[in-house]
Amino acid sequence: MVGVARFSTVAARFARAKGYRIPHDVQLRKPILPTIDNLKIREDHPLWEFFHEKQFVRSVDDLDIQGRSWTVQDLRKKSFEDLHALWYVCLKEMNKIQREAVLYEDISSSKIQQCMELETALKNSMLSIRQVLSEREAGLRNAREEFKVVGEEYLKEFKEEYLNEENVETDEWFDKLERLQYAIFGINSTYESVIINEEFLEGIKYVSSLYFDKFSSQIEEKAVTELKDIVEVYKVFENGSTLDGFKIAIENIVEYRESGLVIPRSKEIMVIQNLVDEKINEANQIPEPESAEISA
Amino acid sequence: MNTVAVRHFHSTPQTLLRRPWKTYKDGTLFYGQSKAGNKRLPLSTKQGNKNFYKGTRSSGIGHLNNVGTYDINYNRVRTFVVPEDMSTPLKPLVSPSVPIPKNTFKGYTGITDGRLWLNQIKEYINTGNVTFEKDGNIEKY
Repeated sequence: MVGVARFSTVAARFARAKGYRIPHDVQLRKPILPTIDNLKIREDHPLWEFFHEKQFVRSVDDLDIQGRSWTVQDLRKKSFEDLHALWYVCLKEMNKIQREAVLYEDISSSKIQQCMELETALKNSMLSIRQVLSEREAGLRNAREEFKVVGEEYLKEFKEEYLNEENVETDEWFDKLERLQYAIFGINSTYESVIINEEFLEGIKYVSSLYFDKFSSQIEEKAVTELKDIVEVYKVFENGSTLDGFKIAIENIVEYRESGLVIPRSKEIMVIQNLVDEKINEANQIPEPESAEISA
Repeated sequence: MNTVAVRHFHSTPQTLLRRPWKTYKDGTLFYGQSKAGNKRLPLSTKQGNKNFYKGTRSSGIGHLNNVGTYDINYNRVRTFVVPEDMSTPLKPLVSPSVPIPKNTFKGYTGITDGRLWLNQIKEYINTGNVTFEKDGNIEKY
Protein backbone atom coordinates (compact mmCIF):
# COMPACT_ATOMS: atom_id res chain seq x y z
CA MET A 1 0.00 0.00 0.00
CA VAL A 2 3.03 2.24 0.43
CA GLY A 3 3.55 2.38 -3.26
CA VAL A 4 0.00 3.45 -3.89
CA ALA A 5 0.20 6.24 -1.34
CA ARG A 6 3.37 7.56 -2.89
CA PHE A 7 1.79 7.43 -6.29
CA SER A 8 -1.11 9.52 -5.16
CA THR A 9 0.91 12.29 -3.57
CA VAL A 10 4.20 12.42 -5.34
CA ALA A 11 3.44 11.35 -8.87
CA ALA A 12 1.88 14.63 -10.01
CA ARG A 13 4.74 16.72 -8.55
CA PHE A 14 7.26 14.33 -10.01
CA ALA A 15 5.71 14.55 -13.42
CA ARG A 16 5.70 18.35 -13.32
CA ALA A 17 9.34 18.36 -12.25
CA LYS A 18 10.13 16.26 -15.29
CA GLY A 19 8.51 18.84 -17.50
CA TYR A 20 5.25 17.13 -18.37
CA ARG A 21 2.41 19.57 -18.71
CA ILE A 22 -0.21 18.81 -16.11
CA PRO A 23 -2.74 21.49 -15.21
CA HIS A 24 -2.54 22.63 -11.57
CA ASP A 25 -6.15 21.86 -10.84
CA VAL A 26 -5.61 18.19 -11.61
CA GLN A 27 -5.33 16.12 -8.49
CA LEU A 28 -4.55 12.47 -8.62
CA ARG A 29 -6.61 10.30 -6.32
CA LYS A 30 -5.82 6.98 -4.83
CA PRO A 31 -6.54 4.32 -7.40
CA ILE A 32 -9.64 2.27 -6.77
CA LEU A 33 -8.67 -1.35 -6.40
CA PRO A 34 -10.73 -3.72 -8.56
CA THR A 35 -12.03 -5.87 -5.73
CA ILE A 36 -15.60 -7.06 -5.37
CA ASP A 37 -16.22 -4.72 -2.41
CA ASN A 38 -15.46 -1.68 -4.53
CA LEU A 39 -18.02 -2.55 -7.17
CA LYS A 40 -21.47 -1.10 -6.74
CA ILE A 41 -24.12 -2.60 -8.97
CA ARG A 42 -27.55 -1.10 -9.18
CA GLU A 43 -30.44 -3.18 -7.91
CA ASP A 44 -32.34 -3.35 -11.18
CA HIS A 45 -29.41 -4.27 -13.38
CA PRO A 46 -30.69 -6.55 -16.17
CA LEU A 47 -27.88 -9.06 -15.68
CA TRP A 48 -29.29 -9.92 -12.25
CA GLU A 49 -31.71 -12.10 -14.23
CA PHE A 50 -28.86 -14.59 -14.47
CA PHE A 51 -28.56 -14.93 -10.68
CA HIS A 52 -30.83 -16.71 -8.26
CA GLU A 53 -31.80 -14.12 -5.64
CA LYS A 54 -28.55 -12.25 -6.35
CA GLN A 55 -26.43 -15.10 -5.03
CA PHE A 56 -23.19 -16.17 -6.71
CA VAL A 57 -24.38 -19.77 -6.66
CA ARG A 58 -27.56 -20.90 -5.00
CA SER A 59 -27.49 -23.02 -1.88
CA VAL A 60 -28.41 -26.69 -1.89
CA ASP A 61 -31.88 -26.03 -0.46
CA ASP A 62 -32.78 -23.60 -3.23
CA LEU A 63 -31.99 -26.09 -5.97
CA ASP A 64 -35.24 -27.77 -6.98
CA ILE A 65 -34.36 -31.43 -7.40
CA GLN A 66 -37.77 -32.84 -6.56
CA GLY A 67 -39.93 -31.16 -9.20
CA ARG A 68 -40.96 -32.78 -12.42
CA SER A 69 -41.18 -31.04 -15.75
CA TRP A 70 -44.47 -29.82 -17.24
CA THR A 71 -46.13 -32.44 -19.39
CA VAL A 72 -48.20 -31.96 -22.49
CA GLN A 73 -51.33 -32.99 -20.60
CA ASP A 74 -50.72 -30.29 -17.97
CA LEU A 75 -50.22 -27.62 -20.58
CA ARG A 76 -53.22 -28.42 -22.79
CA LYS A 77 -55.42 -26.55 -20.32
CA LYS A 78 -53.29 -23.40 -20.33
CA SER A 79 -54.01 -20.30 -22.35
CA PHE A 80 -51.61 -18.93 -24.92
CA GLU A 81 -50.60 -16.10 -22.56
CA ASP A 82 -49.77 -18.61 -19.83
CA LEU A 83 -47.68 -20.69 -22.20
CA HIS A 84 -45.88 -17.59 -23.44
CA ALA A 85 -45.05 -16.52 -19.88
CA LEU A 86 -44.04 -20.04 -18.87
CA TRP A 87 -41.63 -20.25 -21.81
CA TYR A 88 -39.80 -17.19 -20.57
CA VAL A 89 -39.84 -18.41 -16.97
CA CYS A 90 -38.15 -21.63 -18.14
CA LEU A 91 -35.71 -19.70 -20.29
CA LYS A 92 -34.59 -17.53 -17.38
CA GLU A 93 -34.19 -20.57 -15.16
CA MET A 94 -32.15 -22.21 -17.89
CA ASN A 95 -29.83 -19.19 -18.00
CA LYS A 96 -29.24 -19.41 -14.25
CA ILE A 97 -28.63 -23.14 -14.29
CA GLN A 98 -26.24 -23.03 -17.21
CA ARG A 99 -24.27 -20.20 -15.61
CA GLU A 100 -23.93 -22.17 -12.40
CA ALA A 101 -23.04 -25.34 -14.28
CA VAL A 102 -20.04 -23.60 -15.81
CA LEU A 103 -18.83 -22.60 -12.34
CA TYR A 104 -19.24 -26.14 -11.01
CA GLU A 105 -17.51 -27.56 -14.03
CA ASP A 106 -14.45 -25.39 -13.38
CA ILE A 107 -13.98 -26.85 -9.91
CA SER A 108 -15.18 -30.28 -11.13
CA SER A 109 -17.85 -30.40 -8.44
CA SER A 110 -20.33 -33.25 -8.21
CA LYS A 111 -23.18 -30.73 -8.20
CA ILE A 112 -22.90 -30.49 -11.93
CA GLN A 113 -24.91 -33.71 -12.15
CA GLN A 114 -27.88 -32.00 -10.46
CA CYS A 115 -27.56 -29.04 -12.77
CA MET A 116 -27.62 -31.31 -15.80
CA GLU A 117 -30.73 -33.11 -14.56
CA LEU A 118 -32.49 -29.82 -13.92
CA GLU A 119 -31.53 -28.59 -17.34
CA THR A 120 -33.02 -31.71 -18.94
CA ALA A 121 -36.25 -31.21 -17.00
CA LEU A 122 -36.46 -27.59 -18.15
CA LYS A 123 -35.76 -28.61 -21.72
CA ASN A 124 -38.59 -31.13 -21.54
CA SER A 125 -40.95 -28.44 -20.22
CA MET A 126 -40.09 -26.21 -23.14
CA LEU A 127 -40.50 -29.04 -25.61
CA SER A 128 -43.96 -29.71 -24.18
CA ILE A 129 -44.91 -26.07 -24.71
CA ARG A 130 -43.90 -26.32 -28.34
CA GLN A 131 -45.75 -29.61 -28.66
CA VAL A 132 -48.98 -28.08 -27.32
CA LEU A 133 -48.70 -25.10 -29.66
CA SER A 134 -48.18 -27.31 -32.69
CA GLU A 135 -51.11 -29.48 -31.61
CA ARG A 136 -53.30 -26.41 -31.52
CA GLU A 137 -52.12 -25.29 -34.92
CA ALA A 138 -52.81 -28.70 -36.41
CA GLY A 139 -56.18 -28.78 -34.66
CA LEU A 140 -57.12 -25.44 -36.16
CA ARG A 141 -56.02 -26.58 -39.59
CA ASN A 142 -58.03 -29.78 -39.33
CA ALA A 143 -61.05 -27.92 -37.98
CA ARG A 144 -60.90 -25.61 -41.02
CA GLU A 145 -60.83 -28.65 -43.31
CA GLU A 146 -63.73 -30.16 -41.39
CA PHE A 147 -65.68 -26.92 -41.58
CA LYS A 148 -65.45 -26.97 -45.37
CA VAL A 149 -67.41 -30.24 -45.24
CA VAL A 150 -69.98 -29.65 -42.52
CA GLY A 151 -69.89 -25.87 -42.13
CA GLU A 152 -72.66 -25.04 -44.56
CA GLU A 153 -75.02 -27.43 -42.83
CA TYR A 154 -74.18 -25.97 -39.42
CA LEU A 155 -74.78 -22.40 -40.59
CA LYS A 156 -78.11 -23.49 -42.09
CA GLU A 157 -79.14 -25.11 -38.81
CA PHE A 158 -78.14 -21.99 -36.89
CA LYS A 159 -80.18 -19.83 -39.26
CA GLU A 160 -83.26 -22.01 -38.81
CA GLU A 161 -82.87 -21.82 -35.05
CA TYR A 162 -82.55 -18.04 -35.27
CA LEU A 163 -85.59 -17.62 -37.52
CA ASN A 164 -87.76 -19.90 -35.38
CA GLU A 165 -86.92 -18.00 -32.21
CA GLU A 166 -89.76 -15.64 -31.28
CA ASN A 167 -87.79 -12.92 -29.59
CA VAL A 168 -84.20 -12.51 -30.78
CA GLU A 169 -83.69 -9.04 -29.31
CA THR A 170 -82.24 -10.47 -26.12
CA ASP A 171 -78.73 -10.25 -24.71
CA GLU A 172 -78.40 -14.00 -25.06
CA TRP A 173 -78.90 -13.90 -28.81
CA PHE A 174 -76.76 -10.78 -29.27
CA ASP A 175 -73.92 -12.55 -27.47
CA LYS A 176 -74.47 -15.72 -29.46
CA LEU A 177 -74.28 -13.86 -32.76
CA GLU A 178 -71.21 -11.98 -31.61
CA ARG A 179 -69.50 -15.25 -30.71
CA LEU A 180 -70.55 -16.84 -34.01
CA GLN A 181 -69.16 -14.05 -36.15
CA TYR A 182 -65.97 -14.05 -34.12
CA ALA A 183 -65.41 -17.81 -33.99
CA ILE A 184 -66.29 -18.63 -37.58
CA PHE A 185 -65.61 -15.49 -39.59
CA GLY A 186 -63.09 -13.78 -37.32
CA ILE A 187 -65.09 -10.55 -37.03
CA ASN A 188 -64.47 -8.82 -33.73
CA SER A 189 -67.45 -6.66 -32.75
CA THR A 190 -65.14 -3.76 -31.85
CA TYR A 191 -63.24 -4.14 -35.15
CA GLU A 192 -60.04 -4.55 -33.19
CA SER A 193 -57.15 -5.43 -35.54
CA VAL A 194 -59.64 -6.23 -38.26
CA ILE A 195 -58.57 -7.44 -41.69
CA ILE A 196 -61.06 -7.07 -44.50
CA ASN A 197 -60.90 -10.14 -46.72
CA GLU A 198 -63.17 -12.64 -48.42
CA GLU A 199 -63.88 -14.31 -45.09
CA PHE A 200 -65.02 -11.01 -43.59
CA LEU A 201 -67.34 -10.37 -46.52
CA GLU A 202 -68.76 -13.87 -46.22
CA GLY A 203 -69.39 -13.24 -42.53
CA ILE A 204 -71.25 -9.97 -42.98
CA LYS A 205 -73.26 -11.51 -45.80
CA TYR A 206 -74.32 -14.39 -43.58
CA VAL A 207 -75.18 -12.25 -40.54
CA SER A 208 -77.09 -9.68 -42.59
CA SER A 209 -79.05 -12.46 -44.29
CA LEU A 210 -80.07 -13.61 -40.80
CA TYR A 211 -81.31 -10.12 -39.91
CA PHE A 212 -82.96 -9.59 -43.27
CA ASP A 213 -84.90 -12.87 -43.26
CA LYS A 214 -85.96 -12.32 -39.67
CA PHE A 215 -87.18 -8.74 -39.80
CA SER A 216 -88.24 -8.10 -43.40
CA SER A 217 -91.45 -10.08 -42.83
CA GLN A 218 -92.25 -7.89 -39.82
CA ILE A 219 -92.18 -4.64 -41.79
CA GLU A 220 -95.41 -3.67 -43.54
CA GLU A 221 -94.09 -1.67 -46.50
CA LYS A 222 -91.89 -3.76 -48.76
CA ALA A 223 -89.55 -1.10 -50.10
CA VAL A 224 -86.61 -3.49 -50.24
CA THR A 225 -87.16 -7.09 -51.29
CA GLU A 226 -83.54 -8.16 -51.50
CA LEU A 227 -80.04 -6.85 -50.75
CA LYS A 228 -78.44 -5.93 -54.06
CA ASP A 229 -74.83 -5.14 -53.24
CA ILE A 230 -72.24 -5.17 -50.48
CA VAL A 231 -72.98 -1.66 -49.17
CA GLU A 232 -76.57 -2.63 -48.48
CA VAL A 233 -75.39 -5.82 -46.82
CA TYR A 234 -73.05 -3.78 -44.64
CA LYS A 235 -75.79 -1.35 -43.63
CA VAL A 236 -78.00 -4.22 -42.48
CA PHE A 237 -75.04 -5.87 -40.72
CA GLU A 238 -74.26 -2.69 -38.80
CA ASN A 239 -77.74 -1.71 -37.61
CA GLY A 240 -80.09 -4.62 -38.23
CA SER A 241 -79.75 -6.58 -35.00
CA THR A 242 -83.02 -5.08 -33.69
CA LEU A 243 -86.28 -4.29 -35.45
CA ASP A 244 -85.88 -0.52 -34.96
CA GLY A 245 -82.32 -0.62 -36.20
CA PHE A 246 -83.40 -2.70 -39.16
CA LYS A 247 -86.01 -0.06 -40.14
CA ILE A 248 -83.31 2.63 -40.09
CA ALA A 249 -81.07 0.41 -42.21
CA ILE A 250 -83.88 -0.05 -44.75
CA GLU A 251 -84.41 3.73 -44.91
CA ASN A 252 -80.69 4.17 -45.51
CA ILE A 253 -80.80 1.59 -48.29
CA VAL A 254 -83.71 3.34 -50.01
CA GLU A 255 -81.71 6.58 -49.84
CA TYR A 256 -78.63 4.82 -51.18
CA ARG A 257 -80.53 3.33 -54.10
CA GLU A 258 -81.48 6.80 -55.34
CA SER A 259 -77.81 7.36 -56.19
CA GLY A 260 -77.99 4.39 -58.58
CA LEU A 261 -74.61 2.98 -57.57
CA VAL A 262 -73.95 -0.74 -57.71
CA ILE A 263 -70.60 -1.96 -56.36
CA PRO A 264 -68.96 -4.61 -58.58
CA ARG A 265 -67.56 -7.73 -56.97
CA SER A 266 -63.95 -6.75 -57.59
CA LYS A 267 -64.26 -3.56 -55.52
CA GLU A 268 -66.18 -4.99 -52.57
CA ILE A 269 -63.17 -5.29 -50.26
CA MET A 270 -62.01 -1.72 -50.98
CA VAL A 271 -65.45 -0.23 -50.34
CA ILE A 272 -65.95 -2.15 -47.10
CA GLN A 273 -62.47 -1.19 -45.93
CA ASN A 274 -63.39 2.50 -46.36
CA LEU A 275 -66.69 2.05 -44.51
CA VAL A 276 -65.01 0.24 -41.62
CA ASP A 277 -62.25 2.85 -41.41
CA GLU A 278 -64.91 5.58 -41.24
CA LYS A 279 -66.64 3.68 -38.47
CA ILE A 280 -63.42 3.30 -36.48
CA ASN A 281 -62.59 7.00 -36.88
CA GLU A 282 -66.06 7.95 -35.69
CA ALA A 283 -65.66 5.72 -32.65
CA ASN A 284 -62.28 7.29 -31.87
CA GLN A 285 -63.63 10.85 -32.06
CA ILE A 286 -66.40 10.25 -29.54
CA PRO A 287 -64.94 10.83 -26.06
CA GLU A 288 -65.13 7.82 -23.81
CA PRO A 289 -68.15 7.81 -21.50
CA GLU A 290 -65.99 7.42 -18.38
CA SER A 291 -64.07 10.64 -18.96
CA ALA A 292 -67.33 12.46 -19.78
CA GLU A 293 -68.77 11.42 -16.43
CA ILE A 294 -65.72 12.67 -14.59
CA SER A 295 -65.85 16.09 -16.25
CA ALA A 296 -69.58 16.36 -15.55
CA MET B 1 -26.53 -42.10 -78.51
CA ASN B 2 -25.62 -45.45 -77.11
CA THR B 3 -27.14 -45.91 -73.65
CA VAL B 4 -24.13 -47.90 -72.47
CA ALA B 5 -21.93 -44.95 -73.35
CA VAL B 6 -24.14 -42.66 -71.26
CA ARG B 7 -24.02 -44.97 -68.25
CA HIS B 8 -20.24 -45.35 -68.44
CA PHE B 9 -19.33 -41.78 -69.28
CA HIS B 10 -17.11 -41.60 -66.19
CA SER B 11 -15.10 -44.58 -67.13
CA THR B 12 -13.55 -43.35 -70.37
CA PRO B 13 -10.00 -42.08 -69.96
CA GLN B 14 -10.86 -38.69 -71.44
CA THR B 15 -13.70 -37.95 -69.02
CA LEU B 16 -11.66 -39.20 -66.09
CA LEU B 17 -9.00 -36.65 -66.99
CA ARG B 18 -11.61 -33.89 -67.22
CA ARG B 19 -13.12 -34.79 -63.80
CA PRO B 20 -16.68 -33.57 -64.46
CA TRP B 21 -17.73 -33.88 -60.79
CA LYS B 22 -15.29 -31.19 -59.72
CA THR B 23 -16.95 -27.77 -59.64
CA TYR B 24 -13.87 -25.68 -59.08
CA LYS B 25 -11.12 -25.07 -61.57
CA ASP B 26 -8.37 -25.64 -59.02
CA GLY B 27 -9.82 -29.05 -58.20
CA THR B 28 -10.54 -28.41 -54.50
CA LEU B 29 -13.37 -30.29 -52.91
CA PHE B 30 -16.43 -28.41 -51.72
CA TYR B 31 -15.70 -29.65 -48.22
CA GLY B 32 -13.59 -32.29 -46.49
CA GLN B 33 -10.21 -33.69 -47.34
CA SER B 34 -11.37 -36.71 -49.32
CA LYS B 35 -14.50 -37.91 -50.98
CA ALA B 36 -14.69 -41.01 -48.76
CA GLY B 37 -16.04 -41.37 -45.21
CA ASN B 38 -19.05 -39.91 -43.41
CA LYS B 39 -20.16 -36.79 -45.22
CA ARG B 40 -23.62 -36.41 -43.76
CA LEU B 41 -22.79 -34.31 -40.71
CA PRO B 42 -23.75 -30.64 -40.87
CA LEU B 43 -20.86 -28.29 -41.56
CA SER B 44 -19.78 -25.87 -38.89
CA THR B 45 -19.02 -22.25 -39.68
CA LYS B 46 -15.31 -23.05 -39.83
CA GLN B 47 -15.58 -25.87 -42.35
CA GLY B 48 -15.91 -25.78 -46.07
CA ASN B 49 -13.63 -24.32 -48.71
CA LYS B 50 -13.17 -20.72 -49.77
CA ASN B 51 -16.52 -20.66 -51.55
CA PHE B 52 -18.53 -21.81 -48.56
CA TYR B 53 -19.99 -19.21 -46.18
CA LYS B 54 -22.31 -20.49 -43.49
CA GLY B 55 -22.45 -17.60 -41.03
CA THR B 56 -24.45 -17.46 -37.85
CA ARG B 57 -27.45 -15.57 -39.28
CA SER B 58 -26.39 -12.76 -36.99
CA SER B 59 -25.43 -10.21 -39.58
CA GLY B 60 -26.90 -8.77 -42.73
CA ILE B 61 -29.38 -6.57 -40.90
CA GLY B 62 -28.62 -3.48 -42.97
CA HIS B 63 -26.24 -1.95 -45.47
CA LEU B 64 -23.38 0.54 -45.75
CA ASN B 65 -24.54 3.84 -47.19
CA ASN B 66 -22.35 6.09 -49.34
CA VAL B 67 -21.17 8.11 -46.32
CA GLY B 68 -19.73 4.91 -44.89
CA THR B 69 -22.02 4.43 -41.91
CA TYR B 70 -24.12 1.36 -41.44
CA ASP B 71 -27.88 1.79 -41.86
CA ILE B 72 -29.77 -0.79 -39.85
CA ASN B 73 -32.97 -2.09 -41.32
CA TYR B 74 -35.05 -2.78 -38.24
CA ASN B 75 -37.34 -5.12 -40.11
CA ARG B 76 -34.42 -7.53 -40.34
CA VAL B 77 -33.26 -7.22 -36.75
CA ARG B 78 -34.13 -10.20 -34.59
CA THR B 79 -36.69 -9.37 -31.93
CA PHE B 80 -37.90 -11.38 -28.98
CA VAL B 81 -41.54 -10.98 -28.12
CA VAL B 82 -41.81 -11.09 -24.35
CA PRO B 83 -45.17 -11.58 -22.65
CA GLU B 84 -46.92 -8.44 -21.47
CA ASP B 85 -47.20 -9.70 -17.94
CA MET B 86 -44.01 -11.41 -16.79
CA SER B 87 -45.21 -11.76 -13.19
CA THR B 88 -46.84 -15.13 -13.69
CA PRO B 89 -47.36 -17.46 -10.73
CA LEU B 90 -46.19 -20.39 -12.87
CA LYS B 91 -42.91 -22.04 -11.94
CA PRO B 92 -40.50 -23.77 -14.30
CA LEU B 93 -41.11 -27.15 -12.66
CA VAL B 94 -44.18 -28.83 -11.21
CA SER B 95 -44.39 -30.26 -7.72
CA PRO B 96 -43.94 -34.05 -7.80
CA SER B 97 -47.12 -34.52 -5.75
CA VAL B 98 -49.23 -33.21 -8.64
CA PRO B 99 -50.31 -36.20 -10.71
CA ILE B 100 -50.16 -36.09 -14.49
CA PRO B 101 -53.69 -35.79 -15.86
CA LYS B 102 -54.80 -38.33 -18.43
CA ASN B 103 -56.58 -37.22 -21.59
CA THR B 104 -58.75 -39.67 -23.42
CA PHE B 105 -60.32 -38.69 -26.68
CA LYS B 106 -63.18 -41.08 -26.94
CA GLY B 107 -64.83 -41.00 -30.32
CA TYR B 108 -62.10 -38.84 -31.82
CA THR B 109 -58.79 -39.70 -33.44
CA GLY B 110 -56.84 -37.55 -31.00
CA ILE B 111 -56.16 -34.03 -29.88
CA THR B 112 -55.68 -32.77 -33.42
CA ASP B 113 -59.01 -34.15 -34.66
CA GLY B 114 -60.82 -31.38 -36.53
CA ARG B 115 -64.21 -32.63 -35.38
CA LEU B 116 -63.24 -32.26 -31.73
CA TRP B 117 -62.21 -28.65 -32.22
CA LEU B 118 -65.27 -27.87 -34.32
CA ASN B 119 -67.58 -29.30 -31.67
CA GLN B 120 -65.88 -27.16 -29.08
CA ILE B 121 -66.34 -24.09 -31.26
CA LYS B 122 -70.04 -24.93 -31.56
CA GLU B 123 -70.26 -25.28 -27.81
CA TYR B 124 -68.51 -21.92 -27.40
CA ILE B 125 -70.99 -20.24 -29.72
CA ASN B 126 -73.91 -21.75 -27.83
CA THR B 127 -72.82 -21.27 -24.25
CA GLY B 128 -69.93 -18.83 -24.26
CA ASN B 129 -67.43 -21.04 -22.50
CA VAL B 130 -65.67 -24.28 -23.23
CA THR B 131 -64.82 -27.09 -20.90
CA PHE B 132 -61.85 -28.82 -22.40
CA GLU B 133 -62.64 -32.20 -20.93
CA LYS B 134 -66.27 -33.01 -21.45
CA ASP B 135 -68.25 -36.24 -21.66
CA GLY B 136 -65.83 -38.42 -23.70
CA ASN B 137 -62.74 -36.64 -22.45
CA ILE B 138 -63.05 -36.83 -18.68
CA GLU B 139 -59.94 -35.98 -16.78
CA LYS B 140 -58.73 -38.99 -14.86
CA TYR B 141 -56.12 -38.99 -12.14
